[in-house]
Amino acid sequence: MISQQHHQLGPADPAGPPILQVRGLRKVFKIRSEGSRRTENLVAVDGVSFDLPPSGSLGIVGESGSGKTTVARIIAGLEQPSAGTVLVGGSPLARRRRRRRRRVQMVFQDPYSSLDPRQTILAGLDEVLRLHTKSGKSGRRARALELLHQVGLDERHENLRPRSLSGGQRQRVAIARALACGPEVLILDEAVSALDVSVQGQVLNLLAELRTQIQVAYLFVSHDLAVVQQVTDDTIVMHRGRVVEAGPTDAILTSPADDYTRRLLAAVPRPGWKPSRRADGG
Amino acid sequence: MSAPLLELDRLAVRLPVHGELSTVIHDASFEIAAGEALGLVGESGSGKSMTARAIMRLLPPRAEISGSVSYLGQSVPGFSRSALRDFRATQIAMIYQDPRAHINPVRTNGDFLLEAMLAQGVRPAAARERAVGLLAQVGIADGGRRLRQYPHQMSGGQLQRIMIAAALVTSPRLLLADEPTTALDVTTQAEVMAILGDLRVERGLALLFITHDLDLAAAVTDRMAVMYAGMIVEIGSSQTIHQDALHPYTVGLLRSRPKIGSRARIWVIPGRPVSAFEAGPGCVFAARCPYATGRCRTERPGLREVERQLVACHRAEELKGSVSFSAEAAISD
Repeated sequence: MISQQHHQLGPADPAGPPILQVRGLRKVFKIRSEGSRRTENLVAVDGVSFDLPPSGSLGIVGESGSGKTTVARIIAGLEQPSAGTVLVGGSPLARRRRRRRRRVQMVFQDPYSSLDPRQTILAGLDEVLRLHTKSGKSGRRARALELLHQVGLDERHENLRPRSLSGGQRQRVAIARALACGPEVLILDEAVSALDVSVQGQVLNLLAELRTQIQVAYLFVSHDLAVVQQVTDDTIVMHRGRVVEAGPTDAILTSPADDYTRRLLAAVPRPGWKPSRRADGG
Repeated sequence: MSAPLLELDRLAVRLPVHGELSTVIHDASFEIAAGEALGLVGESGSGKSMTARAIMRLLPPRAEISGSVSYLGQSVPGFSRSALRDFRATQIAMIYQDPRAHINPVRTNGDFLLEAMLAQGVRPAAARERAVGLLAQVGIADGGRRLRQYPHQMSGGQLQRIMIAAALVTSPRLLLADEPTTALDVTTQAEVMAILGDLRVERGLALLFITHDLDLAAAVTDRMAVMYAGMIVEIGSSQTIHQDALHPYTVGLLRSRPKIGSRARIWVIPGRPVSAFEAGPGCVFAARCPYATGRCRTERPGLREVERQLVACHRAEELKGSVSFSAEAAISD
């Protein structure tokens, strides 16, 4: 069965061993079924394995319920796996939260709920730098400004609070905060999905640019195939908790091997597209 | 050509915000013929949902409107109370982005679907039979059981189908669909769009399809209108606009969406989408347009015919085919 295999991704590895190694990940949620006291097991993630090379970029594609966000949350340490291992730089995820944070950071979908409304942009960055670095006050401010510049913001924004920023600017701040502690892996969970089309383009180009400037690997979780293509080298396609296809993003999008991947691609609107009706009514 | 089903002429809407009237629509003019699908495309705050609400006469009290909205030649704002009720009950229906927010969670799907029919005096047994038939049309086979179930027992795609069935109960001639598939997965979106397409053919249903997705609108509508900051900036055949858009905003928007099969750096329209009330006296897009001149900033262009499309741009002819935006990453909105 394909999903039980270990998917070797990425080029034949000039960059050394993978920064992220995921093996046999499984997550079972206990849910109470309708009108009954018994609990049932919902297998959200089943036998997911993949490697992410240092400074690589891997997309996880799937629809709602595919388990893609659960995989991201386990890697970020927000959920415990039922089975399987996650190695970062060859060692298991540290139990100590702060050390883990330094290696793996996450950017969420909704920039309206992921920033503290009472904290200025500078204070938010300073908080992260205070926790994770030994820099003094002036060193931290210099680093905060550098981070703001990296995401296309500047001094004019440092004393603003999130409510004065647009959605795209907030997402830039969320990215700057995630990068502040110098993580090796940045998990982007539907990070551009809530943005207007014209602003989404700006953030996609920013993500592409950032990867050429700093050493960080992306784990890019999204339902949007065209967006995944812009920022990833490799992709895994998930369906009902399992990996149904894995390989270079371009190959998957141009010649998909799996039926489900083909169905996903066929559902993307384009000129001349004829939406099709499936019989199962799901 | 006979009179259009729906015609908007220079519709402008102002709403009271903190006691002051604030513009939400500057100028919306378009028509929809019987059986036609028109896409109304725009980003958040462009006024597309407000346009739909103005058509349904669902604007908040004290909203000020000018221009006209006519249905079969009759003024919608001029409808008497009974004419308005009749218009909403038999001629027009609306479906929304989030079906869960528009259905009563403590009543069954059947209560929701049968309500309009029972209110019109249809006998319960006949109403139920008709509802099951409608559910079959939207791809829900076991209608009898679904009628006894509650909204929380349905998936998002199933619930949107129930909303469509409910909209069809009174056999309307015009369906206003406000981002009906935005909250759905792509494969479910394809199914819902296929159902809407079939229903248009079977019933001669006209559709106003509101969306932020230009590719989707181009695929499922006959014509589309592109809206920005409360103003329709371009309108024409969907295929033509998708291939040869004239307005710099439309061109930029089309190219700022990545295309499957191409890794080329996407273009970036600088800045963020503005709301109607933030727009200056000139062209609503002038502040983000790399081609804006002094005239663009002071004199607002109206829709005019250029190459079989209608476009609101002073420089449409000279810019045709040459509009481009930077692919810089650092541009902040």
